Amino acid sequence: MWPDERIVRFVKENFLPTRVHVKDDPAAFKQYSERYQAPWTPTILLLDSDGVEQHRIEGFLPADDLLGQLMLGRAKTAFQQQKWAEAERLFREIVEKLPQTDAAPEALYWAGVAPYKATGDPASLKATGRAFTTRYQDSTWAKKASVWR
Amino acid sequence: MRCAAYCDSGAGERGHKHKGPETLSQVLDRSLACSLGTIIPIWTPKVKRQGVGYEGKEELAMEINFRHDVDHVLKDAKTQQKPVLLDFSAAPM
Repeated sequence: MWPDERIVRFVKENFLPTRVHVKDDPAAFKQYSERYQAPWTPTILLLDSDGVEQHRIEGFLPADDLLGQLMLGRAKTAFQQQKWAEAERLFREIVEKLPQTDAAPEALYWAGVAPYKATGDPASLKATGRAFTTRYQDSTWAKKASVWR
Repeated sequence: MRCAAYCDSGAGERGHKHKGPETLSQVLDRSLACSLGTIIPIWTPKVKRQGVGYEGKEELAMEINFRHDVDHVLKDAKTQQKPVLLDFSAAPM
């Protein structure tokens, strides 16, 4: 049973889902947990199509937070592929749709970085630094963006 | 007692009320059972929920068909140019 239709849909639309179970297949668990250095459960790895880890989710999360992390993984994959416009859109979607999650301030940060990577214009960094003065002020990401103001 | 997540009680959405408070043992059991939101059906009787349409548009099965042949999935991902979700789980299957 999955907890949330949004998560089911998001996973089905965006990923090939695979599972290694610690008790049902201990040999496989050992093999892949060593390969990916993931000894704890639950751990979710989001890998790009080349099998390279782009995002890691460790421990249980409530549905909104889990969805936010999954969306963050999708956006990071686009960022890593240098699809700057798409990455910015996907990061901003997290801030808009799941503003109360821990994924949101991180997404806001990277939404500012993506256009800078595309154009070299630091305006988006400056705007993001200012945005963090009005929201998520206590987050680590606000500290990181503070140098951009 | 408000349910922290969707459960199999058939009582409805997250946040619905249960009659009695959970014991510490039940809370721990539920916590351990959770992987990707999988919940042990603590509050019986178990009533199978029908697939609920996302935004009311269509029916959606509330489950994902996880594959267990990881290396084959990785090959398929490369072919299809699609990312992979790899779940390391201890939840009851």
